[in-house]
Amino acid sequence: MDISIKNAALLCLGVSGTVSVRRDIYGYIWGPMARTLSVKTHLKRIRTNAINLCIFLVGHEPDFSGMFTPANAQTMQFAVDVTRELYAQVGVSVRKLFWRRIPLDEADGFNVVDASGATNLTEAFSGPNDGIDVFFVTTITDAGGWSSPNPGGGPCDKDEKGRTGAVLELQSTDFFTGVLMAHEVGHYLGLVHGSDMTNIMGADTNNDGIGEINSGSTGITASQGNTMKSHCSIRLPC
Amino acid sequence: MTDRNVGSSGRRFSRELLQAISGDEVSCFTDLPVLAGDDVEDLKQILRGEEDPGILVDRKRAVNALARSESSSEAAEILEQILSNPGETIRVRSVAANDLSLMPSEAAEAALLRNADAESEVVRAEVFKSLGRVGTAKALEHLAALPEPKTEHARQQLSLARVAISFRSGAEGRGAQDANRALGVRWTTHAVRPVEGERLRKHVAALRGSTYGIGLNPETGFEISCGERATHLLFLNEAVRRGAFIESVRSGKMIAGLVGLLETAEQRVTIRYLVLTTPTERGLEVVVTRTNGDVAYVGEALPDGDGLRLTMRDVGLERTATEIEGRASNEDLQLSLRVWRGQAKPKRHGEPILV
Repeated sequence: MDISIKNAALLCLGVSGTVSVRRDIYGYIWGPMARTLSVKTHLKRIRTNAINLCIFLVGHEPDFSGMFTPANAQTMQFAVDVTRELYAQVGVSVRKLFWRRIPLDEADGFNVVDASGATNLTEAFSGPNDGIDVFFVTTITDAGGWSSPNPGGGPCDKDEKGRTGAVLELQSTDFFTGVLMAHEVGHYLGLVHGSDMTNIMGADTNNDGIGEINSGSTGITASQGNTMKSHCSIRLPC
Repeated sequence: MTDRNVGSSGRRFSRELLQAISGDEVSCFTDLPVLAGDDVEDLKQILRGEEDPGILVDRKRAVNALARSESSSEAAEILEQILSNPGETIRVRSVAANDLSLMPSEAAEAALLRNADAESEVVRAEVFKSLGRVGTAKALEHLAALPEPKTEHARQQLSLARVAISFRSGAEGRGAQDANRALGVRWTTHAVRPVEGERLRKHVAALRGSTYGIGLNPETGFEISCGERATHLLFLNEAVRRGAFIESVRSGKMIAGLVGLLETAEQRVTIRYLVLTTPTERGLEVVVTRTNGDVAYVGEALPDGDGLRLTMRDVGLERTATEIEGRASNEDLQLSLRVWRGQAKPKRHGEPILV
C-alpha cells in the first residue's frame, strides 16, 4: 500500500510537521548529499526488516574543531547510503539514523583504539535508543573495524559486557568505508566471515587465516539475509 | 600479474605487498599483515616516498605492515620520520607512534622521546603510551621535564608511562594509586582457571602487540571467564615463577602480569590491563590499570600462614563491580573472581548532534 511521505515519516520515523526529505526521511544531517535512491523506494524498503543505527563520532566538536572534518562526516553519511544499497539486496533496510557525538574532553583517548580499546569504548558508551551502535574513531591501530566477535551476533541489551557495537575508522574512499560498515554491522547481525571475496563478509585470499574484504566485496546471499532478519535488532514493520 | 603491480619507476611489486598496503582492502578482524624479504625493502622505499606502487596506498596499513615485518633500527628510523612529519595524518602518525613500541627498545625510546612534545595531543598520547611499553629509567627525567599535556587523556597516558617505566625498571617514580571503594553485596563467583602447557603457549602465540617490555611466564597463566561473552587471560611476568611466586613479587615493584582480552572467534589476544605490584610493610599492594591509564582495580595481599591472601576490588571504572580474591604460596597461586550482580554502573551516551 502506498502511503504519503508525511505518513511514512510519522509512522516509521516518528517525525511530523514540516518534513525535510534529506534530514527526516534519509537521516542525513550534513549536506549536500548526493543520492540515487528515490524517496518512494526508500520508504518502501524501510517499512519491513529494518534496523536503526546510532552513529557516534568519537571526539567530535560541533564546529569541527575535534577529530573530524565536514568531509569526514559526509563520508560517514555516504557509508550509510552504501550500506543501505548492499543490504537492500536481501531485503534488509536501514530505517533510522541517530547521530551522536562524544565530546573531545569526554573521549578518554578512545580516538585511537585497538581491539581491547574498542571493547572498552562500547562498554563505556552506548546510544540511548534501539539503534545498533556504530562508533567512528580516528584510528584503529590493529584493524579497519571491530564488531561483535560472537557467531550469533551482538547483543541488543547494550548493558551487556563485551563489545556492544561496531567500531570503525574511515577508509581511503567513501565507498570502501561503506563496504566496511556493511561488513561490521553484518557481523553484529550475526554474519561470519566467508569464502567469497565478492561477498560483504569477504574471504581469506592469501591463506593467512584472516579474511579480507575490498571495495568489490559487495555481494550478499539470501541465506545471509535470513540470518540478519532473525537478529533481535530487526525492527517491527511500520 | 597486471599493470597494477608496476610502480612509477617500472619496478614490479608483489601481490602480497600490494594487498598489505592497499587503500581498497582490509583484513578482518585483525589487519596486521606480515611481509618478507624483498617486499619489506620495497615497502621501505614506498614509505620513504622513493617509490610509487601505482595503487591507492593506505599509509596506516603500510606502517603496520613494516612494523609487523621487521624490527630494526632502520624501520624505527622510518617510523620516526612518519611520526614527526606534520604532513602525515594524525591517524598515520598515531599508528607510527604505537608501532615504535615494537622496534628495538633503544632506538624506539630515543625516537619517542624526540617526539614527546608533538604538537598534536592525540599523537602525544600515543607517544606516551609507547614509552610506557618500552621506556627505561633514563626516560623518566625527560618525561618529568615535559610541559603538562593539554588533555586529560594525554595526562593519563603520561602518568601511566611514568608508572610503567618506574615499576618495570625499579626506578623511583610515581607510585601506584590507592582508590579503595566499598562495594555492595550479591556476588557471583567465577573460578579463575590455571592454564599451562600447550594451551598457554597457544594463548601467548595469539598475543598481538606489545608486552610492555616484560617476558611472559611460559609455564603458568590463568583463564578468566565472565559468562559466555568475554574471556580474559592473565599472563604472569616470567620473573614470577612457580617455586618463588611470593619471593619474586616481594623483591621489588614490578609489572607482575598482563591481562589480555581473547577474541574467541579468531583466537587473538590484545592486552587490556597491566598488573602492577609494590611490596609494602604489610604485604603487597596491587593495582590493575587499563592501557589508557585508568586505574581499574586496586587491592593488597596480606600474610596468611606461609603465603599471602589477595583481595582486590574495582574502583568503579568497570560497569559491573568486581572483586578478585586469591591465595599465593611460593608453589601455588589460586584466584577467583566475584562479580556483583546488582545494578551496573550506567553507560554514558554522548550527546545528540544537532545540525
